[in-house]
Amino acid sequence: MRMEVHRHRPWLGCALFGAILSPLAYADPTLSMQIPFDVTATPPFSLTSLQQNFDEMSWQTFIALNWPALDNGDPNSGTQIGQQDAATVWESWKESYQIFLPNGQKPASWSASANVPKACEGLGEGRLLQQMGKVPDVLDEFIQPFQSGPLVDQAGVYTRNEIVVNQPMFNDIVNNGLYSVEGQQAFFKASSSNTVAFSCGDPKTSEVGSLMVKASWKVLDGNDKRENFHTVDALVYTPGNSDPSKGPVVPESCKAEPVGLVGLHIVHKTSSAPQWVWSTFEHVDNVPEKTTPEAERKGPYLFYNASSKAEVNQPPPRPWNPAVKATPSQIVREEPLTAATKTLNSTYQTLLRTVNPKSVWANYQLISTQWPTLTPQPPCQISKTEPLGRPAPSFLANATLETYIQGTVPQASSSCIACHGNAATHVTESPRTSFADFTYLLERAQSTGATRSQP
Amino acid sequence: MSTDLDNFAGLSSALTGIPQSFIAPQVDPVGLPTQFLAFVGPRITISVLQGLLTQYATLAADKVPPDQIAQAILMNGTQPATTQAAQAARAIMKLWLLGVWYQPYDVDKVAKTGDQTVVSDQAYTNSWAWKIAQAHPMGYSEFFFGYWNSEPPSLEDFTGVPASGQQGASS
Repeated sequence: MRMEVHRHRPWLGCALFGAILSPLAYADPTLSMQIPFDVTATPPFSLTSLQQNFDEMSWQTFIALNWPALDNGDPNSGTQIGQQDAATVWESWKESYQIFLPNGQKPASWSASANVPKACEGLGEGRLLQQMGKVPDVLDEFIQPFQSGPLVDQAGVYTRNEIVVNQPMFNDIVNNGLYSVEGQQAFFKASSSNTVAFSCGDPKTSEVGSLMVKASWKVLDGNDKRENFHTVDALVYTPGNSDPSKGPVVPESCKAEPVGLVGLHIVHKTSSAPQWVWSTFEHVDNVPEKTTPEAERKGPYLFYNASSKAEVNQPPPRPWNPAVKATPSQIVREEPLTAATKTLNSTYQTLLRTVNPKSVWANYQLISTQWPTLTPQPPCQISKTEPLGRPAPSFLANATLETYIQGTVPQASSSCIACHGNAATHVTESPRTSFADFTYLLERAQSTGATRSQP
Repeated sequence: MSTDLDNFAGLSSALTGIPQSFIAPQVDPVGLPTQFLAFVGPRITISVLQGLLTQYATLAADKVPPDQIAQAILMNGTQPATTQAAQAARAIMKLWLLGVWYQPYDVDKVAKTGDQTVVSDQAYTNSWAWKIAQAHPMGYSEFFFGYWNSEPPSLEDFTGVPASGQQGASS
């Protein structure tokens, strides 16, 4: 966590993006377990060239984060990505439910293993998955303005999501007490210059900076070819709800099931992108593009049925009850991939197949990367007058994570930076700003129950 | 050799007083100069547009300062010029400042004097009047939660132009 007073670094007076021309350049596509510290911008600079550079950074980060991990979460330098499907680096990171605990308790240490709910005990080891939407509780009214909702696969089963953060971001949250409402309040009270500002990746100091990953998984069934997915054995947990005013009454349940990765957001704060770099990937079989004529939508797709006449991109009818099989979603991608992104995808997919012709990772594609075009001066500093940094492209959506808010309608369609610019901490009593540095995670902080001042 | 787009950005900068690097950033995901140039051409006629761009390019090549270029286009001695070029130039100024096109004169089969059009959502949200007021457009703000509790950034931060001690504008 940076206090405002620590964030003033001398601007080096370089030309646009000159400061991020790094000797650690990835001029050619490579398979590396090193997470890029920042984008490597190659002159002459233009919107097109920089988009390409950020897309390359997205792929390099995807490869590093999905590198096979040792038991301690470090990348395994003794193997290559995709030699066989294995637990990845990011899967060792902390999930939001491990950070924002009931009663604002302090999270366990980085290396501690996660506690599982009682309903999951005795089901063996597995990755705990519980969210059914991008926000933690699909029964919450909060999501209604966005017309968001669960995504349902062709078997009528809800996809599950999770959000994890890397160790630098975890440390920033824990060391500053931001995991509880009272801790957030104390943080702001301690100094008038305290603001939530997570650390930036920086090639000069070889710091990776803060990273978040949001993943969507589908439960694999008899119709899915497991060898086509990155898979994990999961504990698919459904929190119970006994209050009909909050949605359908659902019994608490937990099931050990194999799940396959279908969507992946990677969000990385860097010196050149204090509004973070927003990379989004999907499984190649997810959905057809809207611009593809219906007759050519052969599939089979994971979230589209070529023989169905259902209206596309509509949330399932309420009530949303994950315990009951639902009508499969009929989803198309509103904005097609650009030709440049398709070419880059092909390059990296080919490279991944050189390690293993059946590499599961060659079945994923970059949708795009949203990045701030405004060069921060000094690095890592958000502009006072254009705090969103003029994002490009203006809109970006993952068909599995922003399914129902795709498109290009201003103020309505998904823009990662514009939406997350509204993120605030839980402390609304604070007399000054409580901007949360583009993450909604801090809103999940719970109260310790200690007396606090009222607005 | 400068392009029509370069000259239009330079002309727009001279007319508004806003630096060209702010009007037409090198890396620009919005692209208002391109959008405005395409929009304005048929509405003021291509011959008037070309006349303005040529006048700007000639004066700029002679190193005439931007404010004097604006004077040359807009004024007739001490009085506002009444030529179509001057009227078109004023409409271009208003377009940048308000995001609205006010048709300055009749153009056969294209537009009538006084027609008004908000050119696009981007033209509105990026219009310069809001920035000159050190504020944000009604209904659209990029500022973070709680911004209303802090002093706004300076006029120079917003526009690249210092306030020069004008009352009510800190810089």
